[in-house]
Amino acid sequence: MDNNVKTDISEDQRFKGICGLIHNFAVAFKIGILILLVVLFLINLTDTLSVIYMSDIFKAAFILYYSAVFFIVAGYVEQIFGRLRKAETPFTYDIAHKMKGLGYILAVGGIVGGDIFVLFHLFIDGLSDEWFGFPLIISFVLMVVGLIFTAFALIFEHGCKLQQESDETL
Amino acid sequence: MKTVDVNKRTLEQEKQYLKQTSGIVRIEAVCFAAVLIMLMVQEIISAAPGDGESASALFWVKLAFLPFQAASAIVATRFVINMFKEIENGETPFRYSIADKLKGLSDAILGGSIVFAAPYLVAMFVYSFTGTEGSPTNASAVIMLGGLFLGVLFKTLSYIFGYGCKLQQESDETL
Repeated sequence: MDNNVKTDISEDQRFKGICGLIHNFAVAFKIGILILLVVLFLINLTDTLSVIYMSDIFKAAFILYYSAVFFIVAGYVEQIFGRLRKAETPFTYDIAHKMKGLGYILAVGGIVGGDIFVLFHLFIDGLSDEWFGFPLIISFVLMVVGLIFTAFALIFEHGCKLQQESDETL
Repeated sequence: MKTVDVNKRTLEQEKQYLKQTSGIVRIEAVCFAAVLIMLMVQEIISAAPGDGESASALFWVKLAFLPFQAASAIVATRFVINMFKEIENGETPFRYSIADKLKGLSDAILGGSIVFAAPYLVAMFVYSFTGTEGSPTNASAVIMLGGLFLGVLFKTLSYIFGYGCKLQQESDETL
């Protein structure tokens, strides 16, 4: 067997393997979020049904908001890597669009969440400093990663054009 | 605002969009590293013992890991800045040097996730072995899993970049 062909095939298999891993992880992550939410709210509801403080509402809103954002993000990741696993080439406009959507969700989710929770923290008593730093870090991470994915989506579109060229040449 | 169909966008327009996004990413990456280090320092200051109090185990562990955390944040930020600077200045984003930088970034994120989660893990062991009071949050698991996931994601993208480099080479040779 030709060495280059062998390398290409094994690289392709490794790539598809990692894509499959990420796809399955995203599915497990979505299920995990749902289970975590059910468990958290069932325990907390039975514990604090009589007295509910503002800080509890803040924490519940924080958990719900980021669970929703991460659930949508996991959905996008699942779709992107599911398609990457099956597609002949990674450079298709469909994947590029999905990647742009993922970038926007991450960036907007980070900006909105960071603003809301850092602002609310100032008006709610009984919250430790940890609840100021944590939303701020998550917000920044989401913004940076979101913008990186938006840039990658643009690069993917360039890759799609190259793929088109390559297909037409052949 | 005039919108252009993505399939009909010229390479020049795409490069323009990419340059704008790259510039924002670079600024954002620097801000992120600065805020991250500031928050880490602030967390240590708030955990510092008062007069006559003895410092908790978590305080010392966090203090010991702070230089490593700062270093890993700077390394990851440098990878992001250099990569996007090269993307901004280059003719095409599909170059092997950029694919290598992306691979480096994924390694930095994987290493960083361990360094950032380590203080909480170490403190957890110290608390369980010494039986002292205190509850380090489960932030370690969140940081570690999130970092590992992001690291693997970027590693996959670096493979795709490698494939893109081959296509670019083909395209250049055809021309």
